[in-house]
Amino acid sequence: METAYIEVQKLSKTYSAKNGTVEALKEISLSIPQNEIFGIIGLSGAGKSTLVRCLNLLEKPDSGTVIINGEDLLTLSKEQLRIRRQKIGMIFQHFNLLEQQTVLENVCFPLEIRGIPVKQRKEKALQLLKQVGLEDKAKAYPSQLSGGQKQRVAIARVLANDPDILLCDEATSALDPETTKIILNLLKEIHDTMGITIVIITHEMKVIQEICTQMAVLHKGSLQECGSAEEILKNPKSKAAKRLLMIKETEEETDYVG
Amino acid sequence: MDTYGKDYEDTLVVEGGVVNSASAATDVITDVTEKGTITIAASPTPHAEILAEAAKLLASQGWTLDVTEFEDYIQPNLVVDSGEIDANYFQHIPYLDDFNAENGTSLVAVSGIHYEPFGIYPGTKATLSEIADGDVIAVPNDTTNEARALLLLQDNGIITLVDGAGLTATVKDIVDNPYNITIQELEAAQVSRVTDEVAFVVLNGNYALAAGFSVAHDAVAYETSDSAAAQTYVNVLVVKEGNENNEGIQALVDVLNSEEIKQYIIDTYDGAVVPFED
Amino acid sequence: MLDKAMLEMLLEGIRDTLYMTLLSTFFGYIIGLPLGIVLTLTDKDGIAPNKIIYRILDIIINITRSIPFLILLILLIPLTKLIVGKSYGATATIVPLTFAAAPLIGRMVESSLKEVNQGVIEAAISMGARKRMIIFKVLIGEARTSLLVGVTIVLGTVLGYSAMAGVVGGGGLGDIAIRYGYYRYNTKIMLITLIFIVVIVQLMQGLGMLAAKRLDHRR
Repeated sequence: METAYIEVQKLSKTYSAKNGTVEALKEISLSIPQNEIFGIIGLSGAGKSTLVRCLNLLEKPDSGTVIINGEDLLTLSKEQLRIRRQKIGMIFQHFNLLEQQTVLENVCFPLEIRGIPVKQRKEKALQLLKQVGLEDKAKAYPSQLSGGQKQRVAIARVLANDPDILLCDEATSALDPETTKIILNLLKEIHDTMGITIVIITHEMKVIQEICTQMAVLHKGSLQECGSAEEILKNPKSKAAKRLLMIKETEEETDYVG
Repeated sequence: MDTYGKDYEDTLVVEGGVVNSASAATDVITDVTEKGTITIAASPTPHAEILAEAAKLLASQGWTLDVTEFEDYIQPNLVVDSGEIDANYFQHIPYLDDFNAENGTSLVAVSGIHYEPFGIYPGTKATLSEIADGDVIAVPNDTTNEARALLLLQDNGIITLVDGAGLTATVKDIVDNPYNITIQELEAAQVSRVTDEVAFVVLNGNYALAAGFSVAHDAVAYETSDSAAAQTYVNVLVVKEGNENNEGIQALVDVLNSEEIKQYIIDTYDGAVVPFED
Repeated sequence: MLDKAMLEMLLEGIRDTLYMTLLSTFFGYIIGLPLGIVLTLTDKDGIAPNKIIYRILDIIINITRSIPFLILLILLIPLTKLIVGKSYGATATIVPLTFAAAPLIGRMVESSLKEVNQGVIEAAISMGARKRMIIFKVLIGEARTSLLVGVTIVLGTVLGYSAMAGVVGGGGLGDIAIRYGYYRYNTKIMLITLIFIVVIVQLMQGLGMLAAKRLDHRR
């Protein structure tokens, strides 16, 4: 295994809920090498979303460290963290586009945040829209797009800042199998051409199967298994991994949304 | 009662009047001619106070004046109409006329006793002779009070109202305004609060008192007995029709119009209550 | 039907009503918009949670909103004199109207901004957006239709408050309706002023809604 690009050490996070507390993460330690497509799988409530949100500190862990490219994120100042986040892209299950802005304006947004002049913003945004196959939708509003198109806009938006890491939080869970495939292929293409380290959170084994090179299995806030995706898929050791593979086989009947 | 009588009480009444009409009604002899007791219903202030003074004078003539105080404005008319009480003293003529029409009673005014005059009070100007072009004068904005204020300004030669503008006059009825006065209409309670911003304010007595003005000493001008307002809003002594000339009532009228009572009113109320001169 | 003086009075009333309502709402937003933004940011789910600031503003708003407008009008007279130099007249009523509108606006803005999808705010944070960018581009930008609907509601409410302006000689249609229609039993004037008020409110409502619809790209 290469040296870790993203290094998570003893990450813990507890939420207080109405009836007591929920341990979302229990001392998770994880290494994600550079330029991999790393899948994190688990059922709803496994803590995988919390984990990925800790990677760009949208969520502050109670204890543990998050080191990216040798830099401990928790030691950064607010301003340093803000700048660092610009290079950690994130896409979401519900796309989270600006509904009142056009597709082009959405893709321009991260560039606007960085203070890039308007003309350059537009040029780059149009080029990115071309890359995701939506140049003809530049003037449309998100409400006029399908789910798959919205996610492609979100991907174009996230690429605008030339990120070195792309976090995908259930990015295909709101999409049908056909569209899921298109989005996953797009992610793979981005990975192959731009060399971005991708972390994918999912509850669907087929997503892992499709594009992930490495994977981790989470269950109730604990890490169950971690390693080569190919090997775990072939020969799962943990109960959780075995169960998720079983679900995958009966997937057509049940729909789990994380 | 008059239109601002209620507010007057709000300011001056310190103890609630005791309503003892029930007990009074039972042991009162309705026949006035039997020289001895005259019964009368009245509002606590200033009416009952003036009557208390009158009672002393009547006592010396052999009359007993039995005053019952009422806080409301309906009962005192009903008890007089029913004959339980001989007379009342709390209202002005417009209210009496209205009451008779509404309730089918036959009550009559025997004599005007007092009125509570509107006055022009100094704002940034101390006397009317200082009035200058473009001055602002604040007046109350409700129907009667605004009209009385405008009529008072007219009586003092500041403005002229259209012919026939009576107690419903508004600023729209001003036909001549030689000083180009701006009439600023304000909520009655607000008028006294702008004295540092306008040339003069026109106020009813109770608000003037509340604002710390002495009606007698501070007003640059106020309503006289022959003004339309005083003629209309004079507080009257009222009896049931037919009893006007009863001996006791006549004695009461004489006393209430006596110099002693007039002096008492002038001394006691500092101009906020003024004896009415026929 | 109407004599010239009456007509002039009505026209003046319309002018005064619009003057008081529009300016008070405008100044109300100068105070209320930042207030609503700070409330949104400092609330526990906001992007800069601060219990103390939120609590203090929350209490101030609740107190000022509980004061009947008539009392506020009187209480603020010293401040009014300080600001406009006069305690009476239409301009003077703008001060208390502004202070009556501001907490209402603060609440309306807060509720509008809180409708903005939390996910979009998170996306902006994940892109490394500054707070200022999140406030203007995400919160206000995304909530703009709701904010505009809020403006029309505030305008209607302020117009209603302005009827009380007569207490300090502010004039306006509401004052005419009260003084001539109610005090002086002039049903015709009352009816005419009410029709004008309804038309003005309808116009403001209609224009506001039209603008809101035009600006809404969510469907």
